[in-house]
Amino acid sequence: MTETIGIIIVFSILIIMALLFFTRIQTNSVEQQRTLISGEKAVSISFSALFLPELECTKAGSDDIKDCIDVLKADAATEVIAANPEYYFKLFGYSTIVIQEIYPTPNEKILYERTRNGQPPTEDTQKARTPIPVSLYNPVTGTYAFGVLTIDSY
Amino acid sequence: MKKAQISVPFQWIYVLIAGAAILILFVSFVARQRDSSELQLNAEVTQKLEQIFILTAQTTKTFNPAKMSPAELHFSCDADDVSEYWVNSGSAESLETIVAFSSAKIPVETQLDTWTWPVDMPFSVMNAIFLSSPTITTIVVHDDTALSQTLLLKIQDIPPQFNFQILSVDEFKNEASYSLSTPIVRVIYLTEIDQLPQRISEMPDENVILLQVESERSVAYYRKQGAQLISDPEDHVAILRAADPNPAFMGALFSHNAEYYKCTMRKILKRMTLLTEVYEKRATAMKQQYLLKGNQECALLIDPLIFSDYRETINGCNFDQTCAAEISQASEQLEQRSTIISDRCTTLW
Repeated sequence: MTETIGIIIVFSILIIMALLFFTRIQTNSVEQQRTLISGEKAVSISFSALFLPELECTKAGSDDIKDCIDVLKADAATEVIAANPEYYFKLFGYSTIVIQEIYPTPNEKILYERTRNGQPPTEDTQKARTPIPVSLYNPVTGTYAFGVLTIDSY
Repeated sequence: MKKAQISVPFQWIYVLIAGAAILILFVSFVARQRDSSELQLNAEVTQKLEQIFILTAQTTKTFNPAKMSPAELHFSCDADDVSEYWVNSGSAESLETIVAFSSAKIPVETQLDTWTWPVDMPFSVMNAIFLSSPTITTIVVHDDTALSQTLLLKIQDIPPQFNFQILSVDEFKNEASYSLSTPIVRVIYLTEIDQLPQRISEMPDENVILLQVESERSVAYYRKQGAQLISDPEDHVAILRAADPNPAFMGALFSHNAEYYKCTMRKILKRMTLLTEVYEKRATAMKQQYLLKGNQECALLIDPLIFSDYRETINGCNFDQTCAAEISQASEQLEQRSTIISDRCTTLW
């Protein structure tokens, strides 16, 4: 009788261990998928920002110019994005998008910012950063500047 | 009763309890495994769809047959402008900033067909994506009238990989002349609506999508109820004018019903509204900069108000013929104005 109970207990423990082991593997695998999805979300936000018609340079009779930001559009878009936060949140989610002019006149402009805690991001805030070199075009003067579009996805 | 007589039945009770416990463990293990693999499949397909939607932002005029695990994709876009998609019975993901023209349900076996095309009204608004799969048969029914032939030419702009079956009215009635083995059928009439062939008539109502292209500017959706075809006034939609292939026209062919089409088109109008705000502010800034440079001609030519006028035309349109025609006309006028200004100064967008 005692042996029977002993065998049943040991057998049950083995089964529970196996069950826990497989459950852990499955959970890890789903977690990995989720991490992958959030990584792709960061890429998605980068693309959304880079190909935004609100920013892209255009020239008469040609397609949009790639990797080029129209500075007059960027100024106007900053105001429109701030006035329509809910719409642009669906596009950019929790992220910060900064347009930085490197040359000739260093300066930067925050196009969009929304963090998970509603506070400005700090050095410790976990993020995926995507810097994209761009040219900054002024359509009135016809001049170009060199800049970087930085997207921090939280 | 002696001790040995009691212990034998107790032994059996222990065995039964242990057996039941092991069985329960196994059953719960299998159930967990099933839930987990379903979650994994949903995550995998959602990830694939996310990739497709990312590509939509950057690539246009592209047909892409995306390989995918078997799953049932669901798309919704309703009168309250709530737009979502979900995989099997998984959780819904927002689709509110993506213009995806699709049927309500796409059963994917191995492949999801996607086609992207830019929406320009007249400035670049966003890219539209058209979704279908080899599990959906699309039949285009035409006749010899001039209108039907004109519409047929427009439909032939759709990539041939979508395998639209182009049939005359007689061929459509003769069921032996075409195969029909998919779970969902879409019938696009370029003719008068007639009684459905028996095979389609016998299909579940929700698996049959019916629409009649009345002209280049108007499409009517029908609901199948048994052998009856029903269309209410709100099932008619007006199509915005644009250069061919017109995404507004193509979108009507891929949409599930009028509500889905109107809701998806409202996403385009919403973005157009936001873009007019950007271009109005940009035009004001350009005007000031031209004045500072002493370029009076360009400062006079640029009028920011044309964008606010355009925005007023767009706002509140629910795709009746009048407002669709007004938007199309305003878009064409804006384009003409931009061409004149860009020749002498710079582009308006």
